Amino acid sequence: MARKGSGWALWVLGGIVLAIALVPREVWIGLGVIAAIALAIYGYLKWQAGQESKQSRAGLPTPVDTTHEPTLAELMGSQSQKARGKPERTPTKSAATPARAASSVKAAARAADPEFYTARLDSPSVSERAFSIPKPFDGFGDARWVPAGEVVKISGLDLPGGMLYVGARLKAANGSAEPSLISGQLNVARHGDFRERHTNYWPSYAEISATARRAYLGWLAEGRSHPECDIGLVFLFFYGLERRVILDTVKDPSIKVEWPTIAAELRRLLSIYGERSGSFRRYAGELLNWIELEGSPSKLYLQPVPELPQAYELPAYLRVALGEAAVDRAPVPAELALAWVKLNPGTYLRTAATRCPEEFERLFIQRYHEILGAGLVLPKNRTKLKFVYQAASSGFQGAKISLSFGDLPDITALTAPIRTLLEIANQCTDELGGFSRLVGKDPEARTSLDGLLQLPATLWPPAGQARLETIRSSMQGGMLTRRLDEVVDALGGSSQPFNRDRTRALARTLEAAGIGLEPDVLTGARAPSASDPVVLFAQPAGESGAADTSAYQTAALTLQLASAVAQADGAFNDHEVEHLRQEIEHWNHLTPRSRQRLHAHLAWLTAAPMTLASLKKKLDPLETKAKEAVATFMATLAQSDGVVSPDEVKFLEKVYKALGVEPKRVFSDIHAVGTGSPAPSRTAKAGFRLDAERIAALEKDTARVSALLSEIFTEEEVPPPPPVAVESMEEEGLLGLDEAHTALVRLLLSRPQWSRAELEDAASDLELMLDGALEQVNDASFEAYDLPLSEGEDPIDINAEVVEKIEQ
Amino acid sequence: MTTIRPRDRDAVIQSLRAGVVPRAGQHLIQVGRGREVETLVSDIDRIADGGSSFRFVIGEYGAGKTFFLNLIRAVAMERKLVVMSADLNPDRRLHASGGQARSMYAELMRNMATRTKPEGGALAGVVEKFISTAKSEAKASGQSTEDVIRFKLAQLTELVNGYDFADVIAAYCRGVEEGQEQLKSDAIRWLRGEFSTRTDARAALGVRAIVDDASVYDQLKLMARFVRLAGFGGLLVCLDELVNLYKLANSQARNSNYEQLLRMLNDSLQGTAVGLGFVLGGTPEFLMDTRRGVYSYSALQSRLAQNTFAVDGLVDFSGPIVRLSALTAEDFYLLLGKIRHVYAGGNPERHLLPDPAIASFMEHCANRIGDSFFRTPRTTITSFINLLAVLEQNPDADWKDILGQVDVAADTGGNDDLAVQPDDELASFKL
Repeated sequence: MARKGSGWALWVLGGIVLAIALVPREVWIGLGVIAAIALAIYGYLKWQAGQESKQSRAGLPTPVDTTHEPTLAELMGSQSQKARGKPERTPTKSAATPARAASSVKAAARAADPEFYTARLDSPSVSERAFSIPKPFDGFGDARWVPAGEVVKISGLDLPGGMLYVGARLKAANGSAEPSLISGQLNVARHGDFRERHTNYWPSYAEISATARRAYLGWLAEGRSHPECDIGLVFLFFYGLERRVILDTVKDPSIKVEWPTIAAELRRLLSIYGERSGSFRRYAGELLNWIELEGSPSKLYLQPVPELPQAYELPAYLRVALGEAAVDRAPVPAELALAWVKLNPGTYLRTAATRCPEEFERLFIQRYHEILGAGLVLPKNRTKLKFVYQAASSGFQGAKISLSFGDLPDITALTAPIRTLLEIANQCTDELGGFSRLVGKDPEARTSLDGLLQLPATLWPPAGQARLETIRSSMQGGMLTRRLDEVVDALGGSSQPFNRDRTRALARTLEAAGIGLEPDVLTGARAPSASDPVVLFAQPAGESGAADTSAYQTAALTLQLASAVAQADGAFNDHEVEHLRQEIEHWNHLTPRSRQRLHAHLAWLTAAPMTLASLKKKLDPLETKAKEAVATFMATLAQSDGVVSPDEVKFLEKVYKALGVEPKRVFSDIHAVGTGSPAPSRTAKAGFRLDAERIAALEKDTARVSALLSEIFTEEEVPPPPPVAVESMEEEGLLGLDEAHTALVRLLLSRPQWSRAELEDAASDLELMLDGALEQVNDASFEAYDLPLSEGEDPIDINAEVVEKIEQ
Repeated sequence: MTTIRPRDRDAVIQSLRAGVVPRAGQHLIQVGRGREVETLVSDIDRIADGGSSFRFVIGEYGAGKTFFLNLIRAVAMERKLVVMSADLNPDRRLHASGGQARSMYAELMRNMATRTKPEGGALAGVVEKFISTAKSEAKASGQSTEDVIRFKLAQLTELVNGYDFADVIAAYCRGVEEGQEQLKSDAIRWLRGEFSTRTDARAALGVRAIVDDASVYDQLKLMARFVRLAGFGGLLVCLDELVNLYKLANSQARNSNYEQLLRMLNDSLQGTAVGLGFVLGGTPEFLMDTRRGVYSYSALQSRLAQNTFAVDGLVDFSGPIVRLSALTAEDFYLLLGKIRHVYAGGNPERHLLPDPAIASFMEHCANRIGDSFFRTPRTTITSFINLLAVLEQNPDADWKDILGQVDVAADTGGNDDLAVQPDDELASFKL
C-alpha cells in the first residue's frame, strides 16, 4: 500500500508543480484545503486498521460493550421479527446507529481480509463475477453450505459428513470473513497433525497456518471424531454450525428442518469433546439450548427433555420449561426435575449417579413420585427470565443475541425447590451406593444378580424384570418351591457364593417386588445354602413385621415341629400337609398375611424339614401351657393320616421331651385322638360341670347297647316256655334232652340239693358222666329259661325257679 | 326294664365295692361304647361260625379295659362259646423258656368257662360233654365209644400235638368207662398243662408229649377245634394286662412274646385258626412305645396299622385295634346312675339317691381328688357304693349330710403300669 501511495504522490507532486506554475493563487488555496482534507481521511483510516488488528491478535475475549453493541438484526441489515405463540421472544434492539455500524464493519472487514482480497473489497461486482464461473471446484467460488452427508473434496481430501461452509467468500454476521469458511484458494500444507495445538482463541480458517488447515481438514476427513483433536479445530467446525443455526435461519426460516441434524451432531461432538473442554461444552450447550428453545412448542415442561450438557448456569431450555410450569402451576414432571438436578450448576452428584446413570434416573423418578406425588409445584417468583446467547464464533463478535420470555419467571432464583430435589437425589445416590461400588469393582456385575440385588426390584433392567415376571407367573397357587441356586440362576445367576447377607438382600429385593421368601431370613431365620430349597410366594406389599409377633412365632414353631413329626415316618405326605393347611386356616388369631407366610413356611418345611435338634433352642422361651398345647397338637397331627407309625411315636416322644412335657403322655394323647375324643384338655376347668347334651347322646348310645346286650342276655323278658303238656314232654324228654338226661333231670328235680357223690352214682347208673351231663342239662335249661338248673360243685343246688317253671 | 336278678345284682355290687370288675352282670352297668360292643359281638358271631378274630382292646388305666373284656366274655358265653381268660403277669407270658408260658396256659384252662360254669373250671364238663355225645353216638351206631372218639378226633391229629391230644381224651374216656378216677384226673391234668415232664406224662397216660412253653398256642388251637367238636360255638381267649409284656426288660424275651402275638394275628387274619378268637387288653404304652411296645416289633406294627381312611370322625372298627376312650364326666354320671339302679334291684322306686345327688357326689369327688377323678373311677365307684350301703341301712339319714363325710382316695394304680420289671434273666453276673 505504501509503494502505490508514493507513486500516486509523484503524479500529484508533478501536477502540483505544474499547477503552481499555471494556476492562479485562488486555485492554489483551494487545492491546499482539499489536500488537507485528504490527509485527514488517510490518517483516520490508518488508525482504524491498527486498532482492529490489535484486537484480533490479542488472544483474549473482548469484554462485550453493552452500551453500544450491534444486535444481530442490525448486523444482518434486516430486521427479523420472530413471533411465537408463547413465550413471546423478540431480539432486543440496540441503540447504535446503522451508519456507524456500517462503517465499522467495512473497516473491520478490510483489516481482517487477506491482502490479496483487499483491493476487491470495495467492489462487490468482482465477487459476483467469481460466482459466475461455471462449476467451480469445492472451496472456490461463492461460499455454500454443504448439507449433512455430502462429501466435498478440498486439497485432495475427501471430507465426509458435510455441515460445512465451503467457498471462496462469505461474510460473517459482523461483516468480517466467516471464520469457519473453508476456502480452496488458501494453501494447505502437506502435513498437519490435528492433535497438536495450532490455533489461538477465536480461530479462523483463513487466518490459521497452512499446517493447521491441513490438520483441520485431516480431522474433518477422519470423521470429526478423534478424541484428541485440538479443541480449536473443533471450534472452527462449530462456528459453521453456529452460523447455520443463528444467522442463516434468520434469513431463511426453512433451514430449521436441518436443526435436528445439527442438534444431533452437536450432541455427538459434546459426547466426544464436552468432557475435555468446558468452554466447548458451554458454547455447544448454549447452541443446543437455542435450538431446543427455538424449535419447541409451548408448555415446554410437558415435552421430553432434550439432552443438554451441564454448563455454568442452568440451560435456558430448562429454565423456560420450569418457568412455564411455574406459571401454569403445573407439577414439574419427574424427567424435568431430574434434568434440573443433573444440570444444576454447582451440583455434584455422587459417583453412583454418574456410574450408573440409568438406575439413578429410574430411581430418582420413582422416589420423586413417591415423595412429591404428581410432582413439585414451583412458586411463581418475580425474577424474569432472559436468555442471552453468547456466540462462540468471532463472526458474531460484538453482537448481542438474546431472547426474552415475557413474564416467565426465572426459577433459578429460588433455592428451595432445587434443595428439595437434591435431597431426593442424594437419597437415591445413597440407595445406589452399594450397586455403584459393585459396578465399580466389577462392571460385569451390572446385569448379574449380584448387581441386581443391590437395586430395588423396581429398578431392575427389563431383562431382570422379565425374569422376575417369569418367576412370578410360574408360581402356581401363589407359591413356588425351588432350590436357592435355581432361584438365583433364574434371576440371572451370580458369580459369588450366596452368603447370609446376599440372601437377605435377595429376600429384601423380592419382598419389594411383592414376592416373599421362605425361610424368612429377614427376621432372623437361618440363611439357606445354595442347594437348600426356598419357597417363593406372592406377598402383596403391605405392612411388614408380621413375622415377629409371638403368636406367629408359636404358630411357625408348631408347624416346624409338625413337619418334623410328619417327616418322622419318612415322608411328609399330602394328607399331612393338607391337615396342616387346614390348621393354618383355622388360626384366626393371625393376620391373613401371617397365615399366607405360614402356608409358604409349610411348603418350605415340606421341602426342607427341620431337624428336632435345631428346634430345641427355639422351644425354650415358650410357656408351659403353650408347650403342652403344641405337644397335643403334635399328637393330633401324627394321627391325621390315620397311621401312627413307630417312627412317629418315637419322634413324638422326642418332641415331648424337647418341650419339657412328660414323654409318657404321648401314648395317652395319641390314644385319645385315636378314640375320636378330644385330647384331654389340661387347662384348669372352672368348676365342675356336666354336659347335658353329651349325657343325652350317651344315654341314647347306652340304650342301644343295652338293647343289644339284652338280646344276648335275654334279660328283657323271659319268653314263657311253650305251653306244652307235661305228658307230651315226658314222651319227648324234658327240655328237649335225650332219655338218659331227662331221667337225670327228673332225678335232680326231686331234691333241692344233692351231694356230688350221690349224683355221680346216679349218673353212672344212667351211663352218664356227671360233669358232661350237668353241662348238657344246664345248657338246655339256659335255652329254655335262661337259667341253669344246677349250681355249685359239691353240694349241687337245684335252682328252684327252674323247678317251678319245669313243673308248671 | 324288669327286675334285676339278685344274683347279678350281688355280683355287680360286691365286685365294684371290692374295686374289681364284676364277672357277671356287666351289661347292667354298661354305659355307651355302642360301636365297640357291636364290633366285638360281631367277632363273637364270627367265631361261632367257625371264623377267627383277633383284637387289641387298648385303653388307658381306668378306661374300662377289664370291664369291657369281661363284658365280651359274658357275651361270648351267652353265645355258647367257651371262654378262657387270664391276666398276664411276670410269671405268665405267651412265650418263655422257664415254664411261664405253660403257667399262663394252665391259668387259661383253669379259667375255662361256659355259660353253665361262668366262674371257670369248665374243662371237665367240656370233655365229658364231648365224650357223652360220642357215647350216645356209639350206642346208636353200635361202635365202641373209643372208636367214635378216635374218629371224631382224627381231624385234630393233623395239628401239632393233635395225636397226643386225642390219646388223652381217649384215656379220659377209658377212665370213665373203667371207673379209673386216677386216669381221668391225669387226663385233665395233661389237658391243663400241669405235667411238667414228659416222663410223668408217659407214665400216667402213655403219651410222649406234654403241653410245654413252646406248644401253648398250638394247644389253644387244638382246644378251639375240640370245643367245637364238643358242641360249643368256639373258643374265645381273653388275655388282660398285656402291659406286662411291655414291662419285660429283656428285649429278646419281649420279642419272642410279640412273635407269638404275631402268630396269633396271622392265623386269625388268614383264617387258619378255626373257631378261635383272641381279645387282648393293653394300655397305649404297650401298643405304641417304640422301644418296648408292640411298635418296637415292626412286623406286628405294620399289621396293626390303622385304616388310613378312618380319620376325621370316620371310624373303622374292623381293624385289629379297638380303642377305648377314657371315661368322661358324663360317662361317669350315667355309670353312677346305672349302679344306683342295679343297687335298687332294677326298681326305680327304690332308688336311694335322686339325680342331683349324683352330680353332687361327683362334684364332691372333683373337689377331693381333682378334675380327672372320673378317668380312674375305681375308688370313686367304691365310695359311691359305700354311700349307697349307708343310705340303705340308715333310711333316716339324709344323703346331703353324709355326702360331705364320704372319703375318696385317689387311684394311683395306673402309675404301676409303666414300671419296668427288672431283667430277671441276667440279674447278676460273676466270674
